[in-house]
Amino acid sequence: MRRNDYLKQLHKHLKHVNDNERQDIINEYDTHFYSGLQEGKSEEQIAEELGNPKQLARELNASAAIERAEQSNQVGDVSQAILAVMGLSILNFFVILIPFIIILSIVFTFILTTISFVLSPLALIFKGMVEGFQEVLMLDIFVTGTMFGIGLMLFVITYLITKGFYILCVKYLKWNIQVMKGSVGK
Amino acid sequence: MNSQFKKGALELIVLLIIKRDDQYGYSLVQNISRYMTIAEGTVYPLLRRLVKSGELTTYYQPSTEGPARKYYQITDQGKERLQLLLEEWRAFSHAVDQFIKESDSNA
Repeated sequence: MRRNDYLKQLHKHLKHVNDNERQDIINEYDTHFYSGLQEGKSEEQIAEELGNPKQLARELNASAAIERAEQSNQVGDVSQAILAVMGLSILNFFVILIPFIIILSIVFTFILTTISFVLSPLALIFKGMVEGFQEVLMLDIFVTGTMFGIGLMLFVITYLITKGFYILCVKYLKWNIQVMKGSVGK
Repeated sequence: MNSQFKKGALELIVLLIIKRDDQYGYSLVQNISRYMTIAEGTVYPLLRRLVKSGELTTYYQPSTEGPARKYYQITDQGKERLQLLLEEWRAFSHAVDQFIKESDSNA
């Protein structure tokens, strides 16, 4: 691959980085080509030694996406980071997808349980309106009150779990990228 | 050379080289490839990561010909990190040596 094609490929596949950073990255690889040419290497040879620009872009994307997820607190940024790291390799795809689905379903269960518990008094009122309030038993009220109380406690727990999950996610992605480190070997 | 080994040691190697002398990208890559072959492009993402996490800083220096070079310099935090990696590496290679010795003495 020629120098220009290489840099174009790299440019094309870089995502999650702002224009400044993109330019900085391209400049660095361009300078690398320059130094190599000075030593009498051919453009093709230098490109070959650098390795696949698409794979390099993926690595840079993944780091950039994780960094962004770390700084912001938005679900969208974390999802993007997860996708970017998953894209690094097929192995990574599964290594990330499976634990992620498991943990996500646990978090989801907590959220749903919390919502239904907290909303349980509404169900009781609904029952009263449909069947008449004389049908509402003391026991119903007691059980609903308990559920509501548990729901409030669950709310705090769910909040902490969700937040912990978020932090853990970013940490795991960082660790994953440290260990995987793309294709260093030849 | 086993690429998994290389992956594990690249950060250590990069920090070792930069601690000795500040390096620009190309010189660093040349330094590494004196002893081992790597996909040279992967050094740059690693360098960016190390800069962002505070192990390295950069400065530009004009070169006699061609574009200005971006030099990488180790920080105090980077030196601490290097110390930690070195200790871990020594413990690791010592452990592997033990297995090799055991295996040799039984042969």
